[in-house]
Amino acid sequence: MSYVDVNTDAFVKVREALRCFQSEISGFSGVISQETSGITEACEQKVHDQERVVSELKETKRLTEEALERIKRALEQENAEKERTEQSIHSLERELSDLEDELSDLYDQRSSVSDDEEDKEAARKERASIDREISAVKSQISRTREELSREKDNLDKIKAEIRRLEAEKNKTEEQLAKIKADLQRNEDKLAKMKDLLYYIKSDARELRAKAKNLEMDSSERTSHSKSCVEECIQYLDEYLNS
Amino acid sequence: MSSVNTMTTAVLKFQSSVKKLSDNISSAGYDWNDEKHAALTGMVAEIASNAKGVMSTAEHMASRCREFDSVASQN
Repeated sequence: MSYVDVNTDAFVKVREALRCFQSEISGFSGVISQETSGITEACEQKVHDQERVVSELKETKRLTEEALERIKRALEQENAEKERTEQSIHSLERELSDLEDELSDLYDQRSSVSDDEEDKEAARKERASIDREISAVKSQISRTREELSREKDNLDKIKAEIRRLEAEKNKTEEQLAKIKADLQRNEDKLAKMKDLLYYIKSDARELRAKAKNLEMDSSERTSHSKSCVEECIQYLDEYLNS
Repeated sequence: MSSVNTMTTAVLKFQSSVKKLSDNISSAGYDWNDEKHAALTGMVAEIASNAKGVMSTAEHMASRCREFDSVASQN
């Protein structure tokens, strides 16, 4: 085998390698472009999903805050009602005490009415008058006691409602604290995702440009090298045929 | 993450093609050893260097994508 034959084989081998390389790298930048677009779209979708989570949590927070305000207003009303009822009970108790004193005075008056022979009729009339007053006061005491009993029952109900509202308020406040913490965590997560998406998009743009340049540059250089090798082969062919 | 894998695989495949070309040109150098062969070798070395730059960017992007997925999957 001559030097020329050896070189011809080497040139052919390199020409084939260059052809094979060109074929293999063809479409490289297309794949990179497609995959980077797929990556950024998938990341954007995840950011949108996270934005929806944050938006839903904000709405839940708003509704919970409104519910808490309603409970607080109801508590204020119940506490005002409790105060009013306690004052009413206090007044009724004082009234009852006064009536009982009045009744006691009337009994004293009745027992002090003289029972002399000459004033018998007058004493009877006075006792009858006192008895009517006693009866009226007793009726008033009875009505006041009934009213007091109703007000006390009402106070018990108000107190029970206040306890229920307090428990609901505490529960809602705990829920709100949890929602706020959850919202903060998800807002932080969204901010991180948005930051990373910004850099991923920037990386994707850079990668697409680099891949396109690499493919074009490699293809051009390979074409040029193939031409050079072809020239060598042609030169050797001419030399051998001369 | 499948797109990230496909992307890095494409760059690795490109690098593998450059390596194959480089090996073929080197092996041809036993019989063909002149300035034209040297120019070819230099050309392939430049392509390999550029491909390395692309790989570096791809790895950087893949790392950010992994970080993104890690953040996105946190509850």
